[in-house]
Amino acid sequence: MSIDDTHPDLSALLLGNLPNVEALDAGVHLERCQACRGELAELAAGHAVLLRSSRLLTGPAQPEPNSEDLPPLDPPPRSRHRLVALVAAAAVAVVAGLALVTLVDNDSPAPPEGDPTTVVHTLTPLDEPGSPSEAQGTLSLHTIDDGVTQVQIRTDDLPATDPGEFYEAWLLDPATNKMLALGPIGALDHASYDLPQRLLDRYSVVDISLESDDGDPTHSLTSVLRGTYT
Amino acid sequence: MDDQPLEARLARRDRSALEDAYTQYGPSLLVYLRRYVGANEAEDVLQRTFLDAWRNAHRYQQNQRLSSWLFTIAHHRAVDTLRARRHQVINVEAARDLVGEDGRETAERFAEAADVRAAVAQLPDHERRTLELTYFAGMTQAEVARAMDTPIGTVKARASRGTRRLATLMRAQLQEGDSA
Repeated sequence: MSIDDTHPDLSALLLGNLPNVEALDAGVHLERCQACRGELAELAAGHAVLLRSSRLLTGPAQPEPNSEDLPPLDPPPRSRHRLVALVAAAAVAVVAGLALVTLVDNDSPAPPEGDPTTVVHTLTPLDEPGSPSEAQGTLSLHTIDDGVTQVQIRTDDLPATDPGEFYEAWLLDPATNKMLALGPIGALDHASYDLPQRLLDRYSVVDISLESDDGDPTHSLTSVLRGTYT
Repeated sequence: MDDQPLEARLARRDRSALEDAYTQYGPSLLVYLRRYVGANEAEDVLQRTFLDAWRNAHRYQQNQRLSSWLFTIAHHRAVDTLRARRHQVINVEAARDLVGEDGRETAERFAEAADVRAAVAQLPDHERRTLELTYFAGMTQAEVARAMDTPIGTVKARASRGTRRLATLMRAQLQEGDSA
């Protein structure tokens, strides 16, 4: 089959849609037709990138999603500068800058005192052999805006880590054991993460684990603190 | 609608750029993440990926391909997710394919594939739909003709024009990237 009576259908040739005889005839035609060779060269590059892309993005197990299949994009947190400016204005009027210091200093995880948008939970050791029974912590959820919640974690009396070890925070859904890494707890025993509330709603527990910096892509299996927030 | 390139808008932390990037690259990132963390967690990791992209948008270098940058972030988040699996059996082949140099190469191949999808989305509607059905839905041209209720000759012409236009578009984008 061809687009017209003279030249072969080069798209069908590249797609493997031509019967053997027509494909072989197209090869003979290409040897003597410079115009078709030029057209084939133009088509080949586009065909190659399309084929490579489709091989990777589609498979027999799952159809390729399109943008309508995506969940809504969880809104990102507003600019920290803007947030700080808003809080600063309120703080000057109400508490003369005390809350401002708290929020401007990103290393200070203490939630705003008495803020109705902040909920505080406790982190406690797991009832397992080897758990640091003296350790404890707090988990503060502070609603920012646009469906974004600031998760602030503070730990107390966790044993100092050995070289090559670190503590890391995770979200956990105990019903499914589904976990999502938040990141390492810093040297000052606290950390802060801005998370979409929709994401937070899919889990119910914050877990603190002791990890070894050994390149092992699996969880260490050593959880030291946990706290339920829902 | 801002006429500036998506990369430039994202670098200056324009929220609409993040949404455009999500629409443009989200489906390909979701395919990538499903492959490594499974369908159950892929959407959550996708959200984390774009949250990280937003938080680090000021670090994005416009001479870097946006797709590469996003897939690198997704790669890191996928590794984090595998690390977090405490009681579940991890697909060893998937983990091996995700970590180390092989993992970075895989992310880069996906980024290139995503660039093709993004370029296809910029084609005129009839050409775009023809190529999507042909390459990404696996239809023959006869099936495309039936699906689009269009003569097969028209399908062939659209496929030919679309394929050439795609190559031209991608060449232009590569040249723009090289000169950025």
